[in-house]
Amino acid sequence: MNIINLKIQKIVIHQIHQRDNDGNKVAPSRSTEFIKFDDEAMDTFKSRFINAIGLDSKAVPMSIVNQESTDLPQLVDKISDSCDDDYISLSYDVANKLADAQQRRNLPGGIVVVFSGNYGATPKKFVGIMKAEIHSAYEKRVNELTQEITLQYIEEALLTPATKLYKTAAFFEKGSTPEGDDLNSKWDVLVSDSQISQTEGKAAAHYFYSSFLGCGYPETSARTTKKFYEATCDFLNDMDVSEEKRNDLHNALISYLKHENSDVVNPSEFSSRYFDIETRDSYSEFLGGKEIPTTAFTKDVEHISGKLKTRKLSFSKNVKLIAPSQVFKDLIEIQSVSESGTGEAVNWTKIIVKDEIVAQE
Amino acid sequence: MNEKEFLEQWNQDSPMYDAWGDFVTSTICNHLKTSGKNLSSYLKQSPKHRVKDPVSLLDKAFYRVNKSYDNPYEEIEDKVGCRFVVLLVEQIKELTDIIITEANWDYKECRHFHSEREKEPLLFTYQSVHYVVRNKTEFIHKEVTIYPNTPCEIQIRTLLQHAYAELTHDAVYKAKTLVQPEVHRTVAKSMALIETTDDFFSDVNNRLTSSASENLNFQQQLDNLYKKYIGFESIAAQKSSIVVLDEFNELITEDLMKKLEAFIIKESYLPEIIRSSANINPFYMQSVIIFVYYLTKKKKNTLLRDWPLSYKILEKLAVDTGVSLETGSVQKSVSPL
Repeated sequence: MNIINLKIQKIVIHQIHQRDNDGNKVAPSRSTEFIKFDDEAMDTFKSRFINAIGLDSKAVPMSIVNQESTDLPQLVDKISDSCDDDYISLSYDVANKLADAQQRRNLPGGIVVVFSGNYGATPKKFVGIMKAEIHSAYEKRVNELTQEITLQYIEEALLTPATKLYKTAAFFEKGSTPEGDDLNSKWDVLVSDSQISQTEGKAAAHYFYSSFLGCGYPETSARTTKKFYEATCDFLNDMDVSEEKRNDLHNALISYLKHENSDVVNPSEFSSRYFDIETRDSYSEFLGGKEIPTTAFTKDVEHISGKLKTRKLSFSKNVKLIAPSQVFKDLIEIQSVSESGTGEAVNWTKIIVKDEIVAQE
Repeated sequence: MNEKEFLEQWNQDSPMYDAWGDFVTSTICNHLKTSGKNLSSYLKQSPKHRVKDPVSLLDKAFYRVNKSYDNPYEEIEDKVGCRFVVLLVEQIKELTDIIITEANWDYKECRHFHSEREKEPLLFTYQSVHYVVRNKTEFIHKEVTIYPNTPCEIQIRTLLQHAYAELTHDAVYKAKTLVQPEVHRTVAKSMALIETTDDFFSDVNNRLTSSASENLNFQQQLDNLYKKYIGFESIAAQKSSIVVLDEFNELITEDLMKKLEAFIIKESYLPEIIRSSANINPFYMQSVIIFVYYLTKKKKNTLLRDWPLSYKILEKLAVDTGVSLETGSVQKSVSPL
């Protein structure tokens, strides 16, 4: 999705608190005024938001699951065209919902930012929700007389550039007219939560995207994952690198999809791990050309589980080498041979299998 | 004509010479302006004409060593003169072309360092270009009637040649005492050095303009693109723009302009953003803005690695195109705020 031409019109914040020692919910502290940012602060806020959910970000599309009138998606739908007074109280309901969802006692409190405005070439509505954790920081101070620099400790800071410290969800109105009551036909949802892509996976982030937002992984994940896998294979096969290197990259792609303990595929993360900067740019252009998102998406390897299980090398004269992908990675070494023993130019491949032959037919 | 008659004649004529000098100078300046030159940077000193003062005129007419005139009043052609000082040898040619092609006067080349170098290849001395122009017909300029055939001397030099002339004119030729041979020698050495340096200057200038010409062409096309889609002229490329184009020179390929046009058509909201930001931020008034927007979307990683200006600018542009600047490798390129 293209989040262009973003204009933020309303921002309200409320504070939520960590559960008390007995695990009981503490009611959020309510604000009664809209936040008025000056231009620079607004630019920075927008930049934080786009960094979290924009093109190439770690945000993943989700689909709306809970559609009851008291569920968050309905709240968002109401917020999108409410008057100022309703807006503040509806946004407080949002904060309340998050406090409800934070069942575990060790989840920190923070500020819930509810904001909205429009986006797109022809303006459409959006509603954003951020949970910004409060952390400590330092502020630089300069003594005017001595010009000496000191650090002032700040106990409560938030919305620093580290996206790890906030979770963001945003509902973007679709260009098309909604069909029936299904909110999925009215809103696209993006969720950015560094915990989704971390090793703890779903469990840690579940309260945010599911209990709180009422969203779930979209059904298209398996299709998108397959398209990503196939396009990346095409790209690797087209790269101007040695066969050894190409082999390594194919192994890396399989490890990334198969063994990474994460529920998210993030193409720009993959490319920054294995490609140099120029190749990263041509890779994103390549994916863009095939209409595959360079933004992260939820992973589902259902359609490609067979492909991930085995790796296969094919040669022009019908020679094939097939091995389970992990075995392939560990025990097979390939090398290009460009000159025959007699000095002729050839396109041969030398294969070393670090194992003995157990049967021949 | 004796001195008294000479002086009477001169007092009568000098306003006419003054007007003629003014006409010649302003004519040349107008030509320069029409060919797009910025006079204040092109000319290294004001070209204002000067009418000879009577004392030095009489001195020249009647007391010149090694040179006597039969008819000094007619023969002295620099009764009024003007001087054009430029930076580069090539620019002298631009000026002489103007003088040669002007229809209002006849011209005569009195000296030119090119021909003098050929004639005396071993000599390093005063170098300059002198022309004398004379009006073909009688006409009125600034309410003064100028008779036909009135002479005006035009001197054209490079800045370094001018420096030489200033030094030798005042210090050497007007020296009260006999000048030592080693001083002459040193002065000659200076001119040899000046000629060499002028050649180097031209060389540098040629290289700069030829390597910049491809960029120049790109810049021109970018300006046209800006005008076409934003709706008004971009301002001349400032240093920031040149630095950006220089940094991403390798991305400027033949088909880039086509891609940029396709981009600005596709991202149809961008022209409005550029228009509305142009009066707040001068960066938006330069056509390079389109190129940078393009990079945020198409070459983000290269852009983040090589961006030569403040990160803040990129942040703002990336918000407009909806691109997250966080790279896959966590936080590496994100400057702390």
